[in-house]
Amino acid sequence: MIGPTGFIEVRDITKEYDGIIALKDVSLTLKEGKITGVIGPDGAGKTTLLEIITGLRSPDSGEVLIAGKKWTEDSGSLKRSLGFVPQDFSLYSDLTVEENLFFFGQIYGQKDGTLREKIEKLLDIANLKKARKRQAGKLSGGMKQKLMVLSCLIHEPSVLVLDEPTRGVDPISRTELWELIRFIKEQGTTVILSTSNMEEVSRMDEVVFLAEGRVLVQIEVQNLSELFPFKIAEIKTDRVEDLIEKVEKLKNIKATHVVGRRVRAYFPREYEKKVVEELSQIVKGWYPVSPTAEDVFVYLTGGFIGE
Amino acid sequence: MNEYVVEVKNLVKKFGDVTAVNNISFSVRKGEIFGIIGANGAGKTTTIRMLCGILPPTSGIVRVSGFKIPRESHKVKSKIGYMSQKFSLYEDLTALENLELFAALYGVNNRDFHSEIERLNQFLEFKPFLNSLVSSLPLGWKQRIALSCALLHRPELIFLDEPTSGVDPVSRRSFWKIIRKLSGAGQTIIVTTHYMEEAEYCDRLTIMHEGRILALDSPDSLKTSLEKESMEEVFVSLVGGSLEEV
Repeated sequence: MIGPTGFIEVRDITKEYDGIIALKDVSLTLKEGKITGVIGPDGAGKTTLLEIITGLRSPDSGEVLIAGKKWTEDSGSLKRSLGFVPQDFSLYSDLTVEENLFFFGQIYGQKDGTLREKIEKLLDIANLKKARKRQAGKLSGGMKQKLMVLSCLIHEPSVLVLDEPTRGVDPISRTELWELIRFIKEQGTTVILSTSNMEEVSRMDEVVFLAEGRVLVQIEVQNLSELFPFKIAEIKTDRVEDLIEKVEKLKNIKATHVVGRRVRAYFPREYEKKVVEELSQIVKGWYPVSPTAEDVFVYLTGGFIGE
Repeated sequence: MNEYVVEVKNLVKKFGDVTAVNNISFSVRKGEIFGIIGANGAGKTTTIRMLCGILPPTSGIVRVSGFKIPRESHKVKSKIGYMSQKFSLYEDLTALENLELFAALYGVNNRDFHSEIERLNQFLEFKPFLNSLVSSLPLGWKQRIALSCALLHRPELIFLDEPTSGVDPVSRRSFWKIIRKLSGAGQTIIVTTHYMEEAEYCDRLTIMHEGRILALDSPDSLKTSLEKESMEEVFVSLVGGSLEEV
């Protein structure tokens, strides 16, 4: 355990690989006991950032402080207080579920008796009791992911870092994985995870939007929509192309976006009255919707300019 | 609108004792964006491989572009295009070299190739990147080049396998805009994915689990009938907790 504060400060981190910038001047302050999501597309720098936070990689410049401790000074105690779940399966495929957990516990110097108790508890939490005697290599993708998380919980870290835990995982396993992450947070552990899936934002407390190695914004999820300057009208239709043509001709519509049979029209807040009038001329009904995390991300990366 | 490009009736595929696809039936209309959604092992890939004519069905009827499978499988291949975001390009060739390779494989002659490049460039706008090595391109551009490779021979039916997972949201939106244009122009699209955000872009979709079809409708109708807010909730409620059973 790393004491009462447990928060993480990332100060001016820059990292290049062969002249290509992976992270540029990244600074963050992450709160204790919260779930913080690092969100961005592939190649945004998510893995590099998490690996620097967990001390697996050194930055070219800048530093990371975890509860006031630096990797360059206190790496031993920091390693004991951190858990890192990497993207690729990193357990022993030919060991069973419980053998893997036992092995990791022993690496962290845990005593046999308490270790067995802990493993029982963890298997129960993750709903993996029935699979305890199965070889790790023969588990489904979702179960492997859960086992990886458990193997990082054995030494009771105060910070758990997960690199794209839900990548390639089906929606049911994803829901279960999120229940596990939620539970870990409720035990007081600080959770940092990355994802490229914007839909997962609603399950986090705070988000860091990352693009091309830079932080676009760090914000509490509940305040995310405040960053978005447009209002959105959503219209259901069976004739998407016809409707799009009409909507895009309206003077005050800044952009449109189609999802399935729904057309979303974006307009500046101040033109709401005019847009309502204009829309009523071409459609029977529409309803206002809130911006999604993807809307905000697209806006912050300039996706609404010139639409 | 009721002209069917794909018709599947009582389709079964067994591998030894394992039934990978278990008596499924569905039809895909011309110009439709149709999704086949399911977890790994649900039977999506086996189904697609049978539709492409590369895997013979154990039983059942499959017609693609009017041709019977497996008897006329060889005729189907020129009618379909396939794009997988991850695997379809040679990273150490340039974008143009990749396009030339795919054109040659599909028997597109030189004159047609150049006019196709011009035509595709009008909406995919890839010309500035043609001479770049694929390995140096951002993911969103790789995706456009991969799509172009699948479109060169003007297929009637295009298969997209998890086309936009991990792609930045701006590129993802432009990509789906292009797909909608293709569908508007009469090309039929079949998307396979287990990413629910991709499922939302389909006109209709089928949810598969353990080789069977659990539901088939538009995303909105599925959400309404099951009283769910998102496709993720729809999927979870239909498939249930059985995936994690040991």
